[in-house]
Amino acid sequence: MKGLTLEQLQVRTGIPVPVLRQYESGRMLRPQDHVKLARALSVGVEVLKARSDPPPPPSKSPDTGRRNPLPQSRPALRPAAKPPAPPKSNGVDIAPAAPKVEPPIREAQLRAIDTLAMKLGMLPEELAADLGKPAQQLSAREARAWLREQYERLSSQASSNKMPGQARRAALPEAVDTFELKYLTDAQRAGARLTAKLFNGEMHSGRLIGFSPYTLTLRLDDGHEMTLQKLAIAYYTCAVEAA
Amino acid sequence: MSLGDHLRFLRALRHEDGMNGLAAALGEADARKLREIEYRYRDLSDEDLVRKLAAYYGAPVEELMWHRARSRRALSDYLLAVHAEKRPAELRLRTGDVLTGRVVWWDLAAIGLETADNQPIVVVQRHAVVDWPLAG
Repeated sequence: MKGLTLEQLQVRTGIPVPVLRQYESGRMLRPQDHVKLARALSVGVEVLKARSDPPPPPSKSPDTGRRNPLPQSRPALRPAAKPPAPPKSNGVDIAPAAPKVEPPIREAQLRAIDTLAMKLGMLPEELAADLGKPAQQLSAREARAWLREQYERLSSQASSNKMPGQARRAALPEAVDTFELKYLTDAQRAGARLTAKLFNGEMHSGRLIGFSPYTLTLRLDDGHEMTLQKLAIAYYTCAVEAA
Repeated sequence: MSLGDHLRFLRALRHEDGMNGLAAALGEADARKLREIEYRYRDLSDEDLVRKLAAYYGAPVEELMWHRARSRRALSDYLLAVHAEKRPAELRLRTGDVLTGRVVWWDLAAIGLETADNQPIVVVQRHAVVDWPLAG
């Protein structure tokens, strides 16, 4: 937009100077501004659109976890890295569509690849073979694709190793209730009779028909069901009755 | 029995006290700290709060401090030691029972205790264990 100051362009388009400044620094053009700018610069809308990069794929970058803040529907008007001598059009310089240059791999992507390779137990030469070239020579897009593929592989491996309904649990006995859960599951499957002593000294006995982390449910001898709060229980035993 | 378990027991005996009501009665700005002690067994090392709780429940401060020394972690350390040394564990419960036996397993909520050979194990709820032989 050489030849015109931002203030002049603001007068011509009605687009505030700060917004124009953002467009210059690479922000996506709002669709309604395409026409205003094209008219003010006396160029076709397609010329401005040609300067815009194609929208990035609408996916989360696996290496940073950041979402692309730019919606797909908005094309980006980015300054070309080294624009060739722009042709003049009615006194206003408009750069032609620059040949697309693949941005190189970012530092964060390099670190993510190293970390992932370590997690996958890949040696440097195996990594280079898998990537097809040294990681430093990848483009950002290639790095993103490789990282996405590996993360998906890791995630499918993790989900196939997990039992259905199994939640993520810590490994320490102090942090899980797995042992009691297993004990009660086995007892219920075996149709065991549970006898519980409560804090107030009462004893209750019946067939274990259900339980939760906080309760036990018994079928009493008279056919009634009784649910006991574990907080009220001091201890209990389960015994399989002889047939 | 840890201080958290004991406080929960004392609060249950009073029936009417919710956690927010307790916080208000103690002059605490909110119930966050009390929840941390009761539900998450955190030792917040706030002796002033322990004194206020003792006054509120009409219990001696020493009683609460006694429970404070018997944290869940201390019970875990004991269970780990007897399990590793293949010694029988001795657990005194709030019901007055004293159970002795081999620790088969333990976890967040309970302890599986084999009190006699060829008998079903006794599942002791951790919150019911009042005392055990402390190390040292």
